[in-house]
Amino acid sequence: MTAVEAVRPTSAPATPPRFLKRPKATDGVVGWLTTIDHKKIGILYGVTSFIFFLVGGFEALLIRLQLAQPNGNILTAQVYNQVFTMHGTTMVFLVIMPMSAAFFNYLIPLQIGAGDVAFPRLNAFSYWLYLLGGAFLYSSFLLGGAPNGGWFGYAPNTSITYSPGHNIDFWIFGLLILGIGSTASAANLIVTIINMRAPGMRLLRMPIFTWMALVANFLLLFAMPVITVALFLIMFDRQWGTHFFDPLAGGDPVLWQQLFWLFGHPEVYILVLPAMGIVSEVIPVFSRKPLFGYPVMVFSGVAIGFMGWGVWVHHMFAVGLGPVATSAFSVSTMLIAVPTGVKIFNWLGTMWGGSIRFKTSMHFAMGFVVMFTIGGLSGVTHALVPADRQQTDSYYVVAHFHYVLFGGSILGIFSGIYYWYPKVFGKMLDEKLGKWHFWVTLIGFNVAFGPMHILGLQGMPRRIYTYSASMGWNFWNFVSTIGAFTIAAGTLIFIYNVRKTDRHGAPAPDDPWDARTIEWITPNPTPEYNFIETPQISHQDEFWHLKYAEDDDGRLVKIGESPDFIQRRARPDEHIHMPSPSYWPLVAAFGLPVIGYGQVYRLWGISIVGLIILLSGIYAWGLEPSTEPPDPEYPEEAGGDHAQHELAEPETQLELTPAAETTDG
Amino acid sequence: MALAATACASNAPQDTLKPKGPESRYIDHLFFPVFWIAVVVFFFVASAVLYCAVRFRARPGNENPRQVHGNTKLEVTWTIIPFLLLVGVGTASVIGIFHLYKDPPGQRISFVPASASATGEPAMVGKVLEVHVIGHRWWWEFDYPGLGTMQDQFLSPGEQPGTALVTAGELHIPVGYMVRLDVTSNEPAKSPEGVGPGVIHNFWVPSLAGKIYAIPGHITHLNLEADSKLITDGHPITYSGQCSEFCGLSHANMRFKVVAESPADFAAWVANQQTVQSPMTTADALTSPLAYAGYTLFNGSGGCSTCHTIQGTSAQGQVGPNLTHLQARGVFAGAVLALNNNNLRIWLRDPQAVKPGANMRIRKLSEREITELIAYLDTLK
Repeated sequence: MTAVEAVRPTSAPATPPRFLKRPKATDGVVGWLTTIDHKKIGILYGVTSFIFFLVGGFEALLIRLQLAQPNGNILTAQVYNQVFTMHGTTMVFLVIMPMSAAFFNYLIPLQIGAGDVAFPRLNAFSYWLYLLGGAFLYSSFLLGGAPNGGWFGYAPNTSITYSPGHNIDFWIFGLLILGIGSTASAANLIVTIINMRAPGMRLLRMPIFTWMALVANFLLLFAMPVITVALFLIMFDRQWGTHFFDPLAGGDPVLWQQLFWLFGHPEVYILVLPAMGIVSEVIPVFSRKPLFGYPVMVFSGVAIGFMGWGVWVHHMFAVGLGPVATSAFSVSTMLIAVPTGVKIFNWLGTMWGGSIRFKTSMHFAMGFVVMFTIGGLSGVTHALVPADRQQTDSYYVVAHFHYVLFGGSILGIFSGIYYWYPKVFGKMLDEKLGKWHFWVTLIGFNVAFGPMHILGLQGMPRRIYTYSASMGWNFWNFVSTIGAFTIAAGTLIFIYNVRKTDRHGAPAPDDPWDARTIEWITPNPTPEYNFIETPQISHQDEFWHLKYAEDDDGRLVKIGESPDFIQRRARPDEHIHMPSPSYWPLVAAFGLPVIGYGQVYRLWGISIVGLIILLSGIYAWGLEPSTEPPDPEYPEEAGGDHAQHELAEPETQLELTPAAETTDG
Repeated sequence: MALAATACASNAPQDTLKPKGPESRYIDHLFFPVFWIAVVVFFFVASAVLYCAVRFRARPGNENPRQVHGNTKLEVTWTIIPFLLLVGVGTASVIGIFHLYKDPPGQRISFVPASASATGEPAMVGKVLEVHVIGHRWWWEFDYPGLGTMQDQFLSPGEQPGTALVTAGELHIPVGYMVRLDVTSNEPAKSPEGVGPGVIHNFWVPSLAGKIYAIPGHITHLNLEADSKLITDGHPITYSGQCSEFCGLSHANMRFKVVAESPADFAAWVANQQTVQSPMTTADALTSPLAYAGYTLFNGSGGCSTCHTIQGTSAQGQVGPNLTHLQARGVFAGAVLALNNNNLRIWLRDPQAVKPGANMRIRKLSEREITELIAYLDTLK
């Protein structure tokens, strides 16, 4: 076994005290709790965020039940204010962001030809912060009441004078915990994309989803600190006697709005860019044509990322900031519609002249295009400031953002779920049920939110727990409620589809959609090690170019069959050495909600315990090597991390290069 | 289309699509063309998607579409055209913004009482009515400077308050005159919620104008005017408004009315508001025993005078709405309830049941006590 002794030394200078053996399981409860595999983490994000989608959806149904009739008494004002606050907070921070993270985590390493993300244990840490942060937020329902100041938490209403309970404290510390996870994840993914691309994958050869993910993660990296600052300031006002937002002592309520929306506007691009990336992958595949204007799609995404920092005051057009400031932001908001609109036309250009297969994934992608257009257009009417003075803070805005966030992000996410399901789970979701899911959801969605445009124009303000019978709003509120329940029915169809597929679904074939990007070069479901050999990239849409060339007329000429390229191991029993699982991300993450409870209740002892847990977790994490030495039980690993594993026959055209090293932190 | 038709045919008191004054009409005239442009763009995109779905459906014979990677000319065109369109809309927006922020020129309206008036009727002089709007949790206060007292923050140094013209829930304005609103938010020092700056509210009467925030520590402005030609039979027209920024438990119950009346009626209203009630005397105990009992209760064990003001009496509370000339109003309790004895009874039994969280935290009143109070309130003409 001399080869084992010749293995590179571990990074730790001496053997640290180990009261827990390094976990090795990759399955079962321990396997999932200690995983650092980006694919498992992606699945964890996806399942958890889907559960929160059901919870947030339930909150929406409660809201719609209360508002279905005038003078409703399903919910009291006290409960309603918690429900609408948690609906917004849940959907933004616990559903759309983590669902995007699910896609980022699972797909980015596979799309760039890497074995994992740059910092796998940090990745796990981010997930556990999400789960624990969400649980912390929801525990408030049992501990005196959930946050009730709106998802936007305007001061001074959220000050201790006007919100004396702990509701807002749970909101503050819950969001801080979630924010740490998001920021860490953003840094992790940016480093991964920049540093770990396969040879030949220049930036402008990256899949468009990875590009949109890169922009979204840069936005996250810079936006999360802004809300962190705002949350610290309101926390200081509430708990430490400061007066940042109190004009009686020299503070200013408008400061909160400026900080919140400076975060809040990039946040909405964080919410929609990943879905745009998904749709930009799906439409070309199901049109059998390349994405129309790939460079423009990249640059418009980057432009949206930059310009998204210059429009935040459009959430404040009725604040009375003066004509010059208001005009500047009206113009900047109009301008950001240009890169956004261009994307719509490029998607149309992709479909035009194509050969369109109407799989469920494509239905959802096309639904995105139309619904997001409606939301984008109502956004343009908002940029017209005098009109916005009527529209802002009314149900017209509620209609607008649900069209872009549900009609946009959620439909895009479902498109991605149907598209990548075979890659993740090795089975195909049922197409017939999928189409029912799509149509019921699309119809329900438009019935729920279309009338809200009318309600807003008829003078119905937002965030009201009831309204009087003489306002003329009865009919459309009732219709909207029917739409909401229809969406719920559509969601049930989806759940049934998942369950049916899980029990009776046939295994998915390789490359079921005749796809374009290299994540499909791995078998379905993706094996633990991702790629056996790092692909060598010479084109954008590399996988497509392995299968097809173009003749002089621009028509496809088949030059390879998918099975030639799918990477299978020559010896299936062979053990491939993987980065090792770890307990420490979970342990360290656990410290944060403990600190949070201590701060909510001003019990310093509890916070100190949480801090000790956090710091011990990080210390142990730091001492633990990123990867354990190869297991002596498996002689084929004798070459250490650089062991060559043979691909199964037939021989592929791929160049053999060593597997990319993960640089774990 | 059906939605648009229904929207036009609606009967909604806060309808933005049926402007009743020049400011809301200005907005409507800007919104409609942009709305229709948006509709056209939507139809273009939706038709293109549908066309692709039908024409380019995968079928035997078209499995090998030409692999078009882009078209620079087309992409430049469909970038420039929307850009130019948006420049146009943006220009309209900027012009509209400067319009919204204009300070209406013209002498501020002042009041000539009947005794000093040439016609022998109370009258107004001036072009622009100035009103101070103050949002509280959860009711709207309206102060008419020059026609009465101003709240502290609006007084210039050395300026003295005049005779009280402070009212709540109902904003009276003369039709055909521009009204300049100075808007803010605060809470009384003796609020049951404790000392605090107040919270952000949003003043919105859609028929007459867009909305404007009411922010503690800031003064914002809104111009509005009610069309005079809508008054056909001499009767005032009442427009509905509501707070539009989440401000706590009873945000939904923070409503108000704008009563737009002829200038003569407005002057008469001001004159009435300026008459000072006298406190009740023991003589009234014989002629109106119920009302007198109510008056005693109001200023005594009922505790009402600790929060409410009734000018001319010893009730000078500065916490809740000013109730002087209460019966001149059509609504109360944040304009949630129509002013009648039945509703007064419901309110006085349990204000929290009508407005959750209301700062009116009173002891339980017996039915008899409520009868007495209502009898007293009925005398506040």
